[in-house]
Amino acid sequence: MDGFVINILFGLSYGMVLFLLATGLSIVLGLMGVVNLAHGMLFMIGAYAGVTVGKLTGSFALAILAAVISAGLAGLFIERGFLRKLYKRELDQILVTFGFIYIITNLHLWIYGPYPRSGIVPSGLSGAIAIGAYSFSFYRLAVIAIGTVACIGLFWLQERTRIGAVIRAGMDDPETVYASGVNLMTINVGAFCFGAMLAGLAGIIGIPILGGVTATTGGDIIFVAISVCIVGGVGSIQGAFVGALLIGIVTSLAQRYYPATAIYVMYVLMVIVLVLKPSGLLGRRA
Amino acid sequence: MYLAPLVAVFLFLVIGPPFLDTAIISQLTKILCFGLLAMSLDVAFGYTGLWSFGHAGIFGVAAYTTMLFFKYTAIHNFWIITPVAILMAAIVAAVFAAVAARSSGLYFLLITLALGQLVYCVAVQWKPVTNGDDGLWGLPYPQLGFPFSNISYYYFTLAVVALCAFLLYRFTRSPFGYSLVGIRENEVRARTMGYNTRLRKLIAFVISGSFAGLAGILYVYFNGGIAPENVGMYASGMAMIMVIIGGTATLWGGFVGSAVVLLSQYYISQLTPARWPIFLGALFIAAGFFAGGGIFPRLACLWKKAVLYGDAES
Amino acid sequence: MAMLRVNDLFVSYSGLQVLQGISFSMERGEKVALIGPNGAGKTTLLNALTGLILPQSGQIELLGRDITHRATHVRASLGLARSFQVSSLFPQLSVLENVLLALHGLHRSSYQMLRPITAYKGNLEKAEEFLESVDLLAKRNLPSRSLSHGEQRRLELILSLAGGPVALLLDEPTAGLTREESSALAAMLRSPSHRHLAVLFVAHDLDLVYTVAERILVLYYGTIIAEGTAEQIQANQDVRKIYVGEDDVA
Repeated sequence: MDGFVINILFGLSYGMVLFLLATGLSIVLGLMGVVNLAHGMLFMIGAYAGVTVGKLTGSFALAILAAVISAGLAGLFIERGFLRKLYKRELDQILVTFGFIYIITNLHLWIYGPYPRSGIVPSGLSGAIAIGAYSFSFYRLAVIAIGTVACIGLFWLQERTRIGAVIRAGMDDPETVYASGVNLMTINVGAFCFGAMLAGLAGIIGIPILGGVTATTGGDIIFVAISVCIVGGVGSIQGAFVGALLIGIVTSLAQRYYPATAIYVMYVLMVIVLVLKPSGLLGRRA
Repeated sequence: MYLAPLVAVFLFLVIGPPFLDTAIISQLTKILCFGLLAMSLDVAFGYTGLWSFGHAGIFGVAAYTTMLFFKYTAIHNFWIITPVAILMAAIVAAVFAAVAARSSGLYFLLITLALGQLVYCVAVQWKPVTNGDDGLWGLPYPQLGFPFSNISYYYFTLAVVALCAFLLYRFTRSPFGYSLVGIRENEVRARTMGYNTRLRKLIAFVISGSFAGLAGILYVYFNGGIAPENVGMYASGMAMIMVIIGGTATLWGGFVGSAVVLLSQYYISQLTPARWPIFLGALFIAAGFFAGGGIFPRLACLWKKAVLYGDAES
Repeated sequence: MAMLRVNDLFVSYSGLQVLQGISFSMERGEKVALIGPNGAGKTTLLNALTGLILPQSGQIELLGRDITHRATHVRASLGLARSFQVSSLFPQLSVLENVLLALHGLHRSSYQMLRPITAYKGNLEKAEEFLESVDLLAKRNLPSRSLSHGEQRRLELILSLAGGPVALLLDEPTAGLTREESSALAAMLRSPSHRHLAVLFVAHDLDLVYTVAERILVLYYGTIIAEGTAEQIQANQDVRKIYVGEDDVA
């Protein structure tokens, strides 16, 4: 029984990382209709920047700051420099963001080399608690806590603030929002960068959970993010949360009981959801 | 007169090779294989409006099927393996289309992207069967009664691809082919005209997948083997960019795109092998901004103007 | 047997109950107008009839066959055709190709994959006849998106006629047309060649309604509040209140 609980907890901590990663992608897709295939790159940029700064300065706080800022800046660069010029040209957005995948992946390979980097676990979180016969690290507990707080905070933002209302309105009917005098464009860019920063945060805190980061991580992780969006539904915090936790927990359980199937879990979940409810479990659009 | 450039290119492809370097002939064979893949993707993507980012997965299924027959069974007969491999590709294509059926445009793309990656995962993970990342190698040329060499396999590929091109050309001019364009342009209207659009999209994707599978078969014999890198997201992306650069909904554009991408890869890799992806990425970005309708339509337009000008002069 | 029969149809859309208990029938060759203020649900009714929306309850019968839940393309094959309020064409295809597509939809060759569409000389001639009838033959090779608004409306109309339907649903067919074009449309609908064609048309153009319609249905906030000939409708108190008198609903 303990083993089962531990696996659920492992899945929860992994799912929280996925939630932070996928939220940005989901909101941007639902809000702007933009597919940023390079979203996984933002995770990787944050991870590498955070690890580099963290190991240099010995400060976890600075690492997080570096991760969030670098990912945010990269997101801003991609959006302002390229995507804003391709408004409503979805296929061209795909091409451009795909091109960034090649470039950013290769740049990281060039700069950091092919060997994996391990993450940073701050000394304050280096212990573990005992759950029955197993131990569960404080770090992972902290990740679960961060993810939960983030989810509550973002959900509050979505449901109870004016900005959240504007963003939700912008998904349903952009013209009316523009017509009512709101600068939706600025809000969209803000949402994009915020999502990018979340991805960067996911990157730096996620490395210890993923087991390391390499130059291919960005390209690999985008599929998980896409699966989260498809399973949970695009355009809402709760959708990203449900999708992320579901994939996180089921993957973790599979890793324990049928390890060979673990990597396919998210695809199977995706196919099941697509057949039963194409818009995703909590999807907004029909 | 309008067809003159196409004829000229075809003549070059037929007459040129004996005078060319072996490496160039290999590149030409590769261009033809991927051109066929791009052309098949154009049927789904350019003509029908189904944004498939998983076509390399379908291509790979046929290639792997061929290798698996060769490695694990005593059946090495080209005429038995090939139809089975194409059938496998068609089945996978049908599954892709069925799962993504109720989604359109962007979501179809994301789903096929993920499904293509699923195929890649199987290729990498199922080590006992597929040998994982290293791939399966050692496939000799098909046994068709005479020995193949680099140049004779090139001509074989050229013949098969030419036949496929002819069939797909007729396909796009047929009532069914036109209905696909109608579905792309205005699916609701097509339905009110009596077209079963869901069925047609499925059929179109299966046909597209079958030709993609054939491209995979031609490639695996040329390459001597197959590895997961030919199957995943990056390979599917390459196929996409070939169609878009060459020109969507043109069929021939696929070959133009294939030539552009593969030749630049060949030459740039000789200069900076490790940094080639950066150039490819830049090519993607440029295509996103400047491709417009693609190279082929622009060339065709220029040629038409030249012909009309020439006629006007005389 | 009635050509088209609708029985107690309830349709909701985006959470709103748009149509409530709609019942009417049309005979073969009958010309019926559907009028009512904007937002009454006229287009929704056409969408439900063609299968683009499914009703919550009620029945739709075409020539006695229940088509309530059949797919759109099946209804088309049974002879139901429709035009759209906003011209719904194939923008990048030429005018001629648009009509050919409309002709091949219900043609035995629609699944033909190897013979070029231009080899079907019969359909080619028919297409050109249709284009001739609305004076678009000269523009047959232009992409349909390059046509003027009025030309697009004319193309829109022949696309719905091309399949040889027995029941035709027209959504504001004269919207954006000039006086002459509207009269030409009215004349076409009343011509002997279309006397067996049942037509249900949504219109705000009362001239068209009075010249063509044998019967008028008045739709108001999802229910048919009046039905009858032009004189009966003009005399109807409820109708007058909606169109002319005080409006008690904002």
